[in-house]
Amino acid sequence: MDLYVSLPSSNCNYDLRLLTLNDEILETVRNGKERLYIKATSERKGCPVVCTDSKTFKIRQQNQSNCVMLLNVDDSTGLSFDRFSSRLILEDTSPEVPVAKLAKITDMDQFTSLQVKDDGYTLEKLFEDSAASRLEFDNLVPSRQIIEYRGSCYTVDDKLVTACLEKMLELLIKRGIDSGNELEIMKKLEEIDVGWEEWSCLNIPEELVNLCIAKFIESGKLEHDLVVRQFGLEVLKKHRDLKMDDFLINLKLRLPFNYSPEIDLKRSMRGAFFTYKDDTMISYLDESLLSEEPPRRFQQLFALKQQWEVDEIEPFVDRINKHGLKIEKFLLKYCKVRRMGRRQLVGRR
Amino acid sequence: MPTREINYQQATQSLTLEYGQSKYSNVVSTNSGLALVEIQGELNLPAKKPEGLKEEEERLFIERKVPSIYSDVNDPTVDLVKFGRLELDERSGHAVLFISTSQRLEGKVEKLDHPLGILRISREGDEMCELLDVIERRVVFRNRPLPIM
Repeated sequence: MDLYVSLPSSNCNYDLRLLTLNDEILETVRNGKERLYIKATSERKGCPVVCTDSKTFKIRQQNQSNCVMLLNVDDSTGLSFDRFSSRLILEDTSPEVPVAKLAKITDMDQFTSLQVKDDGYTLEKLFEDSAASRLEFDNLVPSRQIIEYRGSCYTVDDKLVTACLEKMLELLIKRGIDSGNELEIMKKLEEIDVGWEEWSCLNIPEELVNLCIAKFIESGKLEHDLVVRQFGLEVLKKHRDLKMDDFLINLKLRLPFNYSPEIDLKRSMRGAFFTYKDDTMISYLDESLLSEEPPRRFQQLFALKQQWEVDEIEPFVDRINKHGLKIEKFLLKYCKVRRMGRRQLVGRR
Repeated sequence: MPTREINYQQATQSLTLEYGQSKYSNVVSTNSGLALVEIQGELNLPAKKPEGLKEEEERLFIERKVPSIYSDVNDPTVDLVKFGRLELDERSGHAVLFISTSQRLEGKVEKLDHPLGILRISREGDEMCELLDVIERRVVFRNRPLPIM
């Protein structure tokens, strides 16, 4: 086969790029069912992303020194009209929603004062501005406490969400008691079937109730860990640093009467606290305030506590483990990891 | 955040065609007749076809229509220059690239760890991007040229 290569030409109005296809994108292309699209911000910061309906990938350009030719193959000739000096690589990334753009509702009275906006920043516009696929966006909206109210998007303050959740729980518990199932209230919370007619008696805007339903109820079942986290964070943020026993007492007192879920702090409060003095003290820790630089972040963590257990430190270093290494392997790059019986302890080098 | 849809219908068709159904099917090209060849270094090409060429040199140049994947302008043409001859052994995947009459490169057909999509992006406007094809193999020449004896 004779090979020909084209001389530079201005007759092309399309650019061709090589895009490395990972398994997810390849599967999408094979099935031909999902949407595939590129999103890019016009700001200097941030990378373009490729999204399927359910996943987002960051695009990175990898330059290459070799000459890569694309051939149009015929029976006896191969014609190269294009050569590539780089390829686009797809990397896993955490989906993002630009929450900073949104105003915050901190008070229930604010709901009545907000005006209807015809050209407001709707959820659809927020989706367009988000580096997230549709499914990821739909999951992020309740977890970041975002609502669309009177034609505009807002974030809702933790206190309001907690207050709304508390009233909803009280209503559910009252229903259980009224129906004579006082001893089976926790079981009743596994099969919630309440329409808006009942929720409306709480005098809470429907959007806020729907936010709580999306955040705390999954297929009619109350997510106890998320509820415990919501109330637990309120207690921890208020006291910051307190005895473990006091924290547990405060938390149980804060939960609605007759609501007694199983409390597993490692599961429900993951990434929001650390313990010290042989687990007798608990302290609040906001992961977003830690440094983005791994060495600095470990320095900050070891300043708070000299020795961590692997599963305790993991949520605080997850986000800086950009290549998705196994946690033990990642920790070994920056710290000393040693085994003590069944426990794996992480300390300063 | 501006969004551009990627139309990947052509790539899906190319992937779902069975081996041998396309007139281009062979060991290295895709069903739509695209192939990747990788050599070390760069190709030094003239900016345009030189004038006053001898008859023998003139035979190295051909003029062809720019394929529709690069342009939707009516019938643009471009000059191409012959730079070698590729011989492939379909069974072993062994490849030889003869450059001129004095050099040859030895290489092989490799399966790519991750297939490469050919993404077409319009230079103007907000047109949809297109994923034209998926390339799963390439011919790669990693060695230095050898003399033809």
